[in-house]
Amino acid sequence: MYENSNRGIVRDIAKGTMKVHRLRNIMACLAIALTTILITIICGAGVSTVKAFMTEAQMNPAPGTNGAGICGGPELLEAIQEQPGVEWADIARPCMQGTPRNQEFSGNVVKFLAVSDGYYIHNYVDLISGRYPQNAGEVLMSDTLAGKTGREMTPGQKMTLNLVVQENKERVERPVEVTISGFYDNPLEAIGDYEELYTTEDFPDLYNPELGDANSVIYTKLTGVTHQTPSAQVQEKLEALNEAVGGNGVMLISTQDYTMIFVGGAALLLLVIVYGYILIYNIFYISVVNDIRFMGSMKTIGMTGRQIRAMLNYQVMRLGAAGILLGTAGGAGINVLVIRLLKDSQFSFSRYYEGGISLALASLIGILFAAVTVWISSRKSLSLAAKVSPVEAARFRASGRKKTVFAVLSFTLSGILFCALYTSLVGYDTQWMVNRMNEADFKVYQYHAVQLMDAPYEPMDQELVERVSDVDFAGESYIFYRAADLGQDPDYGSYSESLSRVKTDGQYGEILEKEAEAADVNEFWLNAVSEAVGNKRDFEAGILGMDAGALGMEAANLNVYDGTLDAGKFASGNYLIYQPYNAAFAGEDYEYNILKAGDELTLSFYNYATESYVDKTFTVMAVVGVKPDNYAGEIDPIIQFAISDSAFREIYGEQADEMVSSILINTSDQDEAACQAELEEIVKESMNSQVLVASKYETKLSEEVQKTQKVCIGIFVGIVAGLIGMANIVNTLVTDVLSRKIEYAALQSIGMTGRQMMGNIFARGMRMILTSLVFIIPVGYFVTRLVAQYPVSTGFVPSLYMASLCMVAAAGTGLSIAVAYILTRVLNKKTVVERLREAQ
Amino acid sequence: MEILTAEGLVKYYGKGESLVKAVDHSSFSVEKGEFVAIVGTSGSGKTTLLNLIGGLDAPDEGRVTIDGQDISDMKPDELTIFRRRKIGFIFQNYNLVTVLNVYKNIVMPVKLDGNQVDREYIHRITEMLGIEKKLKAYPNQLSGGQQQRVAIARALSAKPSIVLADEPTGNLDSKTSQEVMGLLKMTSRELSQTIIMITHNEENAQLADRIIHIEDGRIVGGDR
Repeated sequence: MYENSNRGIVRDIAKGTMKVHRLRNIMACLAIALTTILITIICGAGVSTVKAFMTEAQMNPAPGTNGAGICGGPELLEAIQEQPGVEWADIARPCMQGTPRNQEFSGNVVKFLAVSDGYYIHNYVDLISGRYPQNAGEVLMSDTLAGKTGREMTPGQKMTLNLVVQENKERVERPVEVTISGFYDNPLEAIGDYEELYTTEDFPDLYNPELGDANSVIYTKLTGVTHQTPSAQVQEKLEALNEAVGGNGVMLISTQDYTMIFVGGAALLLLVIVYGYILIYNIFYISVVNDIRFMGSMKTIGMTGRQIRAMLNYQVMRLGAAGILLGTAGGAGINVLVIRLLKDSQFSFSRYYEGGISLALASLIGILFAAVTVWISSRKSLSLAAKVSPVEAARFRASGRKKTVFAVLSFTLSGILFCALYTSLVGYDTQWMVNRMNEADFKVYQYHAVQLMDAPYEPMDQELVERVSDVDFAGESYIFYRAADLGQDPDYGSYSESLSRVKTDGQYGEILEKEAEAADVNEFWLNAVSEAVGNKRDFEAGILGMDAGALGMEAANLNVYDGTLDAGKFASGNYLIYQPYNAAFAGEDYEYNILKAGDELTLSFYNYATESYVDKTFTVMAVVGVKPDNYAGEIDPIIQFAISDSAFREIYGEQADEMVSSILINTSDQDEAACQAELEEIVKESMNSQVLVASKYETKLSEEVQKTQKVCIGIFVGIVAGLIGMANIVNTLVTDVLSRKIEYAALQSIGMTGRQMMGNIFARGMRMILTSLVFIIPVGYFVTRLVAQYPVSTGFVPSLYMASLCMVAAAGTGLSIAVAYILTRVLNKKTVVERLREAQ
Repeated sequence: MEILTAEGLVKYYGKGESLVKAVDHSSFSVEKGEFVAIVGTSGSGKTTLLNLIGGLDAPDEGRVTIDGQDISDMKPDELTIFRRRKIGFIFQNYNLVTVLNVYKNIVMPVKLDGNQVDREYIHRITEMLGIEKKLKAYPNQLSGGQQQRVAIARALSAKPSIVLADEPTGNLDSKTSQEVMGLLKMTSRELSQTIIMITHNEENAQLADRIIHIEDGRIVGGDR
């Protein structure tokens, strides 16, 4: 029958032995399928996430160059285009600073840009309808802006743009009628409430000639530079180009470092592969141990090790194929669901999730990794079966101290990881995070007061301030002011946040000089101080005017190094709170002796409106520093002097009304969503795109989403790690018992009942679990305390740690009970006599 | 006084053409303190018969009475407990628990029953068997003969009504076989222990008080 080949008989034996291992076959298929599913999901969701990230990364203004360019006007464009190493360059000239004052644009930042012809193609501005603008009377609008403004995408529509132009150095509103020549597919959809409106390059010359090209950018595509090129390299090339053409500076967006994401994804994939390896290895190993005497018998009658290996390989391959097929189908299906879930999540890149080719790739990777895992994990079992001699098989013992130690160690590590993840992630205190970012329930604030921008400061008008302060739901409201140079000239196209000049020839200069002598001071600040004090120039400091009633709120965010915060004294207007620049985030141990509470300090404040100095003497109430990791207070790292609102008005006069930086509101109203919506509506109606709304409510929603996502991922990882530990315990226990089944039969013959047998196996399992717990408790405590710090979590929660320990103990106990029960049942399927006969 | 009675025991395997009559209407009895050898060739049914009288297997027909108790209708757990208290087993392969030392192996049946160990008695039987100095050793540190002595001690530790020995010298060389047979004989005499031993070795069987011959599942002589 077999001619001269013995392959046929090996195959026959393989098929025959496979049939009698139904449970093993099912378990192996399931294990392989599960591993494949997990790998496919990670590769599917992982690959899609990376793609979504990268797609979002391109979503910067001028996505064709990732925002890289040279600052300068049209005169530089040709020079740049002719430079070697430049693939192409296009100019984008702002037609005005800020957003056109159109009601319909409220809530959005709309950049009105005059661009050169090549800009559209190079920056993915693809037409949906109509044509690109051909003259300064035409504009190109995005599909998303059309949607926001309720327009049909029909070219030829007329609209009036309420521009703010420079006339005789004043900003004046100037309506300009334009025709919408076409609509484009917005490539910058990812950037929330940001829109770009385009027209021809000559528009600023015609309608806003005084504006100049301080903010114009020639977006430049350099040869060999891609979205993945590190920022430092891009900057170097741009600076060289800038020097060559005499530009006004360079512009680029920092490339995001995705290394950690790739590392995290790879680590997760590795964890799953290890889990799969352990699981599949255990199943095949237990199967071989159970059949070790059979292997020995086969060897006795002449089957070589190679033939035994071939026989088992036959089974492994078939089980592997079935499991991988099942797993791939399941994994692909789950991928579709998971990606849908991620698409609906709150990540900024969520909208870029897509299926299609990513899922196909994920399935292929899943098949590959699963196949490799199956192959590697079955090797040891096959080697054992192939190498065991008949005598060794008869005496085979699977247990040993080494194996037990490994199993205990594995369970210990898994337990520690699970406890650390569970405690830190479930213990993530969203309220703590909310309080870290918000001191009041709601805040309406001038973004430019705290942020450098490329448009001039647009003050909050009085009507807005009054409307916000007087909302019905406000229990209490506080207005804050920040001194600012409202008429500042741009510095390379940028306008700084709210800072104001204070004279340095006097007490303040002396204080700054002494502060500069301290060790570990901020270098940027040091240079600014040296420049100001050395040249007897004014120093730009952050000056906050505030209602004394808000001092209690502010105190929660501050470390007080000297003095006390007394609202009554503060309200008098004769006291100030001083924050040394280097005290911000310095912590409780910061030492400062230069200025003390009770000291008199005379300051000369520059009043921009009157172009004169206002001198005022204060008594220092307290020296403070913002607490580390705290971003809630209005006394933030930029502020050096906090004075009462009355003192602020005394110094800055009527201009103080244009320096309102924020209005904080506390309320007892439970309907936070409605309060938020009301404030957003008020702000929208003001048409000041620099005014924003923040709230505890909004932060809480965002934090809760983040927590849920962290918990899901973290617990998933913890459970997978836990399963690895449990799998090793199971392997050690099962193989030990199976290799001693004759012994157990003998014990049953001399009087061990089934219950006693179960108890014996359970006790073996519990010994391993309890030994692990002895190490998990102290080591896990130490590790968890480390892990539970910010940014992973918000602190160690003892009750959650106890709960996680209980879960680990319960899992271990449950495992021991289950294994003992199942093993007892499985072994007792054969009678004592049948098992004893095996020995013969 | 009869300590064991086996009446009309039948144990068949398979059916039709593949029917095997392992034990075919066998009956015999054993007196208290008797050393009986059941002798037969390979496949004669002696091991099956031993398993039936030891309660390890249930007969298709017939009954077994040990120390006045009919074990035929006992439930599995009842039978196990009965076996633990009333029957001692000695196997050809010793079947000691490798992770326990000699002492713990010996007292295993007593411990399984949750009873107090009679240390004096254990000391006496270990001395008798010449393993009193090996109590802390592990089975893998002992020779075959020594392991079988431990197995004998284990079988005796619960002071059973009968001891069943299944080819106790099957894995031993001739010299050790003789020693072990001598020990079985001695313990039977000294402790008035009823021992039923199955063997295919006629020479070993001669040491017994009585020899029962079994052939093709039937007792053909010595059954009384």
